[in-house]
Amino acid sequence: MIRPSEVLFGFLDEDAKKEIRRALLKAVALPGYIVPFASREMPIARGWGTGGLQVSLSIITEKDTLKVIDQGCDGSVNAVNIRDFISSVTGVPETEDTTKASIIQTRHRVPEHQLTEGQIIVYQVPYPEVLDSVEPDTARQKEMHANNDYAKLWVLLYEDTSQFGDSRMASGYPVAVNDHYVMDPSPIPKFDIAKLNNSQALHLFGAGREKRIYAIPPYTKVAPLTFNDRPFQVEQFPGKACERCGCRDVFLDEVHLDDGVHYFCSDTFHCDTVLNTRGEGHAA
Amino acid sequence: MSYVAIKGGAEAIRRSKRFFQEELASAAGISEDALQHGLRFACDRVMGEGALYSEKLAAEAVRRSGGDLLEAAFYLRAHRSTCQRVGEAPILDSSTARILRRISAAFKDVEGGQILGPSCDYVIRLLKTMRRSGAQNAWPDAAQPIFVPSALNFLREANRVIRLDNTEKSPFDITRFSPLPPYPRSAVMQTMARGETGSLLAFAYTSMRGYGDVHPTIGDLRLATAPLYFTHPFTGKQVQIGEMRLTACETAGSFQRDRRDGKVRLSVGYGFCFGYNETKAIAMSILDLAMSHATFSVGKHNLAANPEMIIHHVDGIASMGFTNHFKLPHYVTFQADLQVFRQAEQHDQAK
Amino acid sequence: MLLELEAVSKIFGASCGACLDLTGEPGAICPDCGSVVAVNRVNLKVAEGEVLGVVGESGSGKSTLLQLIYQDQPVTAGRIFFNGITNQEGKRQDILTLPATHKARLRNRDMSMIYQNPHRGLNFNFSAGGNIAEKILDTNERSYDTIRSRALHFFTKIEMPPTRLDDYPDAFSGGQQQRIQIAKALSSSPRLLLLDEPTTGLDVSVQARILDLIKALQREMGFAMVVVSHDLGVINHLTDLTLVMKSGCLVEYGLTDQILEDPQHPYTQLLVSSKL
Repeated sequence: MIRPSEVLFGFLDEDAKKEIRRALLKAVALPGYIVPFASREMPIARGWGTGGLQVSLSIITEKDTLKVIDQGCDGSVNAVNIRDFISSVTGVPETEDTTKASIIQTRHRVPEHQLTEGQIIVYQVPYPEVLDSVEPDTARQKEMHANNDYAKLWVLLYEDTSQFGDSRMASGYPVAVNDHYVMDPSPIPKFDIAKLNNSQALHLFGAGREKRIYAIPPYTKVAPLTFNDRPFQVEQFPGKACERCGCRDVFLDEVHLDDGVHYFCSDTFHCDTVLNTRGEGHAA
Repeated sequence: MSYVAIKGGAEAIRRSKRFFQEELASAAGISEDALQHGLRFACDRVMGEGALYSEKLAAEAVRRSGGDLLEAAFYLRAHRSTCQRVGEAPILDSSTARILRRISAAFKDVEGGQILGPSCDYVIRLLKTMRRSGAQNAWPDAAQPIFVPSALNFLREANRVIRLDNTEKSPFDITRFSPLPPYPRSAVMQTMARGETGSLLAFAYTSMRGYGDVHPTIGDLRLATAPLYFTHPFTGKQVQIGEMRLTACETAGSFQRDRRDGKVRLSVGYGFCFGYNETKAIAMSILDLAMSHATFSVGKHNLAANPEMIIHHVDGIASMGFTNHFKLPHYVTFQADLQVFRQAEQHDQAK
Repeated sequence: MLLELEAVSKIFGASCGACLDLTGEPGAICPDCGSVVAVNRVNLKVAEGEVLGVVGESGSGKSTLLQLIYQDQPVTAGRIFFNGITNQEGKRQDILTLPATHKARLRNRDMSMIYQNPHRGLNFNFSAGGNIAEKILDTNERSYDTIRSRALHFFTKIEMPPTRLDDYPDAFSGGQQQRIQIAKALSSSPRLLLLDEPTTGLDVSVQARILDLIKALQREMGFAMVVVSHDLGVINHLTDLTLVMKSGCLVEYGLTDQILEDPQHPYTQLLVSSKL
């Protein structure tokens, strides 16, 4: 265990934090635009949330309350590990309560509770560049973003629609931000895309390995790339409800057990809240 | 109902870590000297890939990681992140360093001679011949310090080597800025100097056999020790703050027409790393050659000649971390994948 | 005029500054600095619906000229005007001075190019339909059904069976790949079609069918064309007007019939007389 006295508050030195904050400011000023940053090596592995972690550590203050989730769950191994690390180097209080957290670091989900003004959600991003699937050259990618040239992404969408009836992209579905830059919203399911649009909260995206930062400021238009005569189809669970809290309008985890398939809320805090309000359960 | 199994990661993590440490407990008994000297190539590789010159910390990292060198390099990188940047040391010239070993494949004999030094090149690799001995581990310095210029120096002095344009005022620092294309050579060289040995080797190997036409000749390969200087913050004078063991390699490629005056000159590539790691320095020099002289048949499109390819794929810390991250839970994304998959199945059935 | 070029030049290599004057009809390589003047102060005009041929031997700069119009290559000097491209005062504006996004729009919507090598004109990772869709998407069309039906419309126009729309380019023959390029090029209803040796390398019967197809589509849709070819047969078949290039310079210009019947410039005479 790292003792707080051994390391700086927030682990990173002030130069590193300053650089990341500057990148964040630029990212907020240009919604959806990808800003390069130096990206320090962290004591957790590249690809395990070092981008999100650096963003969280550069913006966190003593007054913050931290929530960390992975796949919607506060108790997931990686979430636990990251939360332990952040609180060990900052001493800030932790919470599982989405509504009480001022900073939420997440991987692959947006919480079911609507985020509000003053909240910051930090995403761990594996592939920041939405154009990677159609153009691997960094210089060309920059040019395409500058020219608002996303024709190749649209062709990909056309190809998938022709062959499979819909896009094959299931998570990390490309979104146009503020009618300009198209960005990768990190591998959240399509179900969560609507939560990005006109959100009251600030959404920050950090890709540590790829050394990129981008952002969606509060109250920004975010729209998935879809043909205007093909509805954007999000994940559906017809006839299914969470076996624990009974919710239907949420993203469900499909769990395969000895006795068959079961469905539970992916957002464990939301599940607990529903149970508690009904007064018939308690947090597991 | 086993719902609880999805939660409760904290205790599991704690036990898993302890289990791991217990499995490697006997590493605590290996002396620091045995690690630093007996496993010096492991430690040197870790220093290079970890981008931190500390024999002591590298040895400790090798111990902590149970000899997993990618992990060990990762320990050094993570530690390096917590160190304050104090400034820039003056350029260290590997051709004036004190030699332990220096060979040239380009010439039968060279100024200063072929100095074989300690090398496993001609060791017969039979396990049964390994003998135990209580001999001293550290390699002694030669009785007289040896200084020899690079074996390619006389060609350079005769203006027969292509000099690359230097448009950089000061070296790029990849730990402080993220390089963007067109990539400055110093950024590419730094990335390679801390690159993963096996990755550099694989890319360099592609250019040697068919996916490029670099036919390298090792002009000068050296294991050496160089003094490291730094400007004293108060006196403003340069003072020696220590020494660094290094491997440097200069490799000659084919001759080409120098773009500056149209004369034919030799193309040369350079490789460098902390400690002793000949394979890495040679591979790096070949990649430098392929990238800096990507003309005619070599072409810019070969893997090894494309800085975009090299700079993004040789870092062991990044590639290892990302490869391992696929162990993390991905059930939300996989659920989303399955839903799209089912829709596509329905689309096919409806046809 | 739909398209006007004013003293457009292209120099490959670090120019000494005097290359344009030091080169010309006798040779395109600058004796002073060794740079290659591929296009030397060419002026030309193309009216709406007009079909212009550009002939000359290989290395005469005719393909480069086409690439300069299509912005595949940066122009070294000169100005290019396109009908309807004006500045804020409503005066015609040199398209080379347009911001990148406007240039791209012009290139994507108002012009199309058919390359000799289908690998340049088609993306072989996309289906035939996807390739055509790319050009339609460039016009900002965002309805899938419209895009699909337009792609199909042009695919059948080039006499291909609708069932093959989702096949990939490498599943088609060379002549069919050229047809797919044509369908792609026309799917944005361009005002100017540029063709760079569109039938070179195809066998004669295939050539004739493709040329007839291009001609019929041009009459039907009314776009202007600039056709580059070293084959006077192709020029004769397709074009109304012809310009002759040698060493980057324009050496003769006039009605195609006249040029082929009664060439004036000695170089043109040589070209016409050496025709098999």
